Amino acid sequence: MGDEERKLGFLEKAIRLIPGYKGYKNKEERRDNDQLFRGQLVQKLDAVRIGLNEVINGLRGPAALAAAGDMDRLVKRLEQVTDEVRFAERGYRGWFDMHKVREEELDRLYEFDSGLAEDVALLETALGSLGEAARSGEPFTAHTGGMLDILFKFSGKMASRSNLLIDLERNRPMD
Amino acid sequence: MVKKLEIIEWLDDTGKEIVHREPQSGSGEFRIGSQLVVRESQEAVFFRDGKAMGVLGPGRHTLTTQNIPFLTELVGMAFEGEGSPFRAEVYYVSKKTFVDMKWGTKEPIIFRDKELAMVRLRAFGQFSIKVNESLLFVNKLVGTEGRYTADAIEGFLKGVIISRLADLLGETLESIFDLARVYDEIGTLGKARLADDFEKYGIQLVDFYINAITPPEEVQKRIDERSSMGALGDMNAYMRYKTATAISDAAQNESGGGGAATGVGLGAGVGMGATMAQMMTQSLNQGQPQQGAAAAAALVVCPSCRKQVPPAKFCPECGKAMGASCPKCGAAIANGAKFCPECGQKLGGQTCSCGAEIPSGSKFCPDCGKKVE
Ligand SMILES: [Zn+2]
Ligand SMILES: [Zn+2]
Ligand SMILES: [Zn+2]
Repeated sequence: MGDEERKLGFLEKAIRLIPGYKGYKNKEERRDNDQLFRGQLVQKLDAVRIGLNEVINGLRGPAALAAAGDMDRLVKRLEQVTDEVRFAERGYRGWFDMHKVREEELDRLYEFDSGLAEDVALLETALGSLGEAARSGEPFTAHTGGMLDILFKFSGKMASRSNLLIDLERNRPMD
Repeated sequence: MVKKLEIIEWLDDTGKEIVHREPQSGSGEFRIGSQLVVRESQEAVFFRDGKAMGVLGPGRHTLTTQNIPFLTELVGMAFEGEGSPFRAEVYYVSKKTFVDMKWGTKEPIIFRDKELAMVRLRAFGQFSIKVNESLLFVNKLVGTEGRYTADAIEGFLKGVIISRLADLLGETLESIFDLARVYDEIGTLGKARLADDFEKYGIQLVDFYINAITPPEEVQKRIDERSSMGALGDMNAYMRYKTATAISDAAQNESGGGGAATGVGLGAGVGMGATMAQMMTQSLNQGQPQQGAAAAAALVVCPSCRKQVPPAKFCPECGKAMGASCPKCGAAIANGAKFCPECGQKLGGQTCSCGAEIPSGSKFCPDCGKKVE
């Protein structure tokens, strides 16, 4: 696969995963598009939260009691991560006001954001397996553990996203 | 009575209203061309004939069918011009999080206990909510339930909480004696179920806490009695304890009995009581070979009743939650405290792999939720 092809593949992915893909280039659209992207992530994370509640609510009696601790930690962690995404804008003030961003830096950000979107997709898949395990009465601590791991990594990435944007602010390119 | 409105807006001075109807009573007559102000963290829902028609987000909106297509339905095709009247109600919905709302039982929950038959339980706690979907919220609560004051909505939600909690206790708990052991789990399961219920009304349950579930006093006494054995373990231990107490009670009664049998009673009673106590200690120690001595050494002071008790989540004397205790002097410690208020011992020496400090006694990282190794 050549460089051009790879770039095209990445662009397609970015366009599919990130609404308003080209919008970060223009200062005027940047804030809206960032909000759109984060809004989409929040919506999906919220759906995962509702899914987790459904899993808990599908359990009865001793099985429900046994699962409660694990599920509680998972839901709390998910809520925290969701808030991190929801309130991320607070860290990006300068970035929203920058005039222009270099193309390759922008690509780096898009690649990054695609990664976040993919993590959320992983979470959705993991929720599916968790639900199946719960329905068939299998133990599912491994599944909740797996989802926690995804969330830890996701949190780490959200923090470096802020740093990435701050980096971009510091290296203001010429207009 | 019909009210004419030119600028429609709502500012909640109390900060406590989830929803506000405009006009507050009767039906509103609005005019095409008038202004509707929706503040940050508000949404305005147009409502007529038991149905929500559409929602407007923050901003100053001029009411025209061009700006707001769903108005067409309200106005009727023939009268779309400036100044044309139309009837509706506007429900302002606050989108902020309402924290520390209180819930509690007015009438006790009837719990069918495996051992005690019916137990009347009282419970109270806190919850926080946020309206996620204004349209759904207004359709369900105003449209279907006919509730549009903050009080009426709060009352409705509290009713849902109590009835869910009653279901949950009935399903998961066999006996009230197990309650202390599964307290946290009941809270978690309760939150999950209520979240599901509230979601159907467009409301997100942000937090849900059970502060207490209390049985009547005489039942509480029996629970206390039994859970004073809790630190040592199972029903067998309880039975042995009961036997031993019964015998020492008998010994005391006999010794206080007076009359000709006194000498015999005293000697036999004391002797037997002592032997039983000894046997009990032995058999308990067999069950808990190493912990016996350690448990006796590491008594802590309950923050509620100030009695010296073995470390546990709930005080075996008074049943209240105990929280953490200082590993050095045993004093009770507020959650998250860095130093012991009594002896100054540095607390929470453990650090999680995420970097957060872990309070002593915590099983999970307060920051990332990871299990403490
Ligand atoms: Zn106590
Ligand atoms: Zn101390
Ligand atoms: Zn941690």
